[in-house]
Amino acid sequence: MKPIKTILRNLSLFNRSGAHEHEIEEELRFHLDMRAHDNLAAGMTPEEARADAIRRFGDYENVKEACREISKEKLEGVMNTKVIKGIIWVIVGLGLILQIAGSEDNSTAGLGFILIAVLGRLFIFLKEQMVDTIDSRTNKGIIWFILGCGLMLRFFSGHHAIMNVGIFLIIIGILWRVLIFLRKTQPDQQRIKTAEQIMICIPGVDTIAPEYYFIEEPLSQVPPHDQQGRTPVERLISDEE
Amino acid sequence: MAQSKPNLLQGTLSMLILRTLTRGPLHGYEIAQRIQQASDEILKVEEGSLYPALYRMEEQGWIEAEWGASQNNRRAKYYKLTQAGRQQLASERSNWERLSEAVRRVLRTA
Repeated sequence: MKPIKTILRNLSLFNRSGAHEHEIEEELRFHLDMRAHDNLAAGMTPEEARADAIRRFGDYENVKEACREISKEKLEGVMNTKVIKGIIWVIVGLGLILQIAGSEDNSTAGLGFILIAVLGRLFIFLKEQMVDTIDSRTNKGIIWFILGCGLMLRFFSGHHAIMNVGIFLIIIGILWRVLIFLRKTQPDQQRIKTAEQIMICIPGVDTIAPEYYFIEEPLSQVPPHDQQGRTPVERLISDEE
Repeated sequence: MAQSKPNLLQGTLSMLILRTLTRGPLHGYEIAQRIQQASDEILKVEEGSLYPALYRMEEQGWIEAEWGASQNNRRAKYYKLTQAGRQQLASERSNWERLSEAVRRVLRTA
């Protein structure tokens, strides 16, 4: 039943974009209403409260568009993974049919299909669960361990079945390494973040990315420090604990 | 002399959002309010920039969103921290402390 469920889920994802747009609007309107509500409580007239809420929010249409774009990217990412999973299940199904009902030649092809599907599923699993969450050094350590085990089983074992397990482990190790390589070729979010932080830590300097620079006061006054010499951000971090 | 209110610096917004969510799920308006209040009204979240940041963080898996009922019984989207978000917070916090310490050292010596 799982392949059918996967396909149905994929089909339902095609109708999600309209729902997302509606949800974005609902969320942004909620924010404006909350701000207007607080303004009213602070003594503003309804017109002033609404106008202030809109002014503080900024360009509503631009914000909505930005949210919509990000939401769309996410949806496409989810959909791609779901479609790939759906295809994997179709391959498994074909493999099983050939394995059970086919002739001897077809049975071997069936096994091949199943192996491809298992490797494909493993690839997605590694990407979702392991590569993105474990640090690079640990990843590399695990890869070398798997490759080492695979090579030992492949070349120092007399049993055919154990040798096949060795080959399987070597393929897993190589797949894992490929995933890490692909990840490294994408923009490194952590490095970008650090660069942003370095730029914002030098207020007063005409940086190469002036959009990150909002403070015009002298460095000694901004951001204001408390009695312990902490900046507002540092204070927020420690006070929240 | 009235203190100026600097806008919230863009590079630190995600860290502050993550830190604010460590106490429990909050909707966007509450997040903005909490940051402003916890910083004694000094840090002002650009309300328009908050939502794209939240969506981006959700896409990156640092936070999860779920619709629920707000205090005034309206439907609101609540964000909560994920395990990946906690790790990201630890990393960003460590970066922030390292960098602010470096700037402090320069201010003391230069």
